[in-house]
Amino acid sequence: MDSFHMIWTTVGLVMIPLESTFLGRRFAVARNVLNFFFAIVVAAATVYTMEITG
Amino acid sequence: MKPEKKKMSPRLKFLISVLVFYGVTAFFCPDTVRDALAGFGGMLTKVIPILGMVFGFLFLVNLFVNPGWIRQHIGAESGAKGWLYAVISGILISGPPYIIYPMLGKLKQHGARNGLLAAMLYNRNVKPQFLPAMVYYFGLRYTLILSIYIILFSLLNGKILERFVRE
Repeated sequence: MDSFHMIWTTVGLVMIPLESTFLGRRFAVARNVLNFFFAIVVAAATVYTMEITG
Repeated sequence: MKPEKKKMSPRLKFLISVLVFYGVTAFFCPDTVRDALAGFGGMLTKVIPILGMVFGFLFLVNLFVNPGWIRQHIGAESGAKGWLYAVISGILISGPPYIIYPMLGKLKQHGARNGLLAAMLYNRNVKPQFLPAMVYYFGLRYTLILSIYIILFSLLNGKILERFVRE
C-alpha cells in the first residue's frame, strides 16, 4: 500500500510531456524513473522502520 | 521564384480542429455541445483564479528575483542552504502540476539547480494540509516515519538526478 501511495504521488507518466516542456525531457524521464525505484525503497524502509520501532 | 508559404503553427491547427469538431457536433447534437460548453465554463471559473496566481507569481519573480539572487539561494553556489530551501519550499508549495512546472521552469531559466528542483518536487509529497487526515487513517508514527523518509530521499533523489542531467 505504501509503494502504491508513493508511486501514485511521485510518478506521473501523463505529466511527462508537460514536465519536459518546462524542465527538459532528460530531467523529466530521469526523475520519473528514479521516483519509481525510490517509491519501492521508501516503502520498504518505512515498513522496516515501523517493524523495528513498533 | 515561388513565394515561401507560411506554415500554420501546431497550436493554431489544434484550435481550429477543436472548433471544427464543436461545429460539427453542434450541427448534429446541439444539446451535447451545450453541456460541454457549460462544463468548460465551470472549469474555467475554477481555473482562472489559480492562473491569476501563477501569472502573479511569474510577474513577481521577474520583478524582484534576479538570476543572481536565484543562483545564490538555489543555484550552483547555494550549498547546504539551497537544499534546505528546496525541502522547505517543496513542502509548502501546493497546486496542480500545470501550475508548478511553469514556475519551476522559470526558476531553472534563471539559474536554479536541477537537483534542487527535483528535491522540491519530491517534497511535494509531504502535504501539511493532509497530515491530520493521514494521522487519522494511518497513525502518527507511520506519518512521521514516511515524511522523514520522503525528506531524506528527496535529497538523494536530487543528488542522483544531477548525475544524469547536466546543468
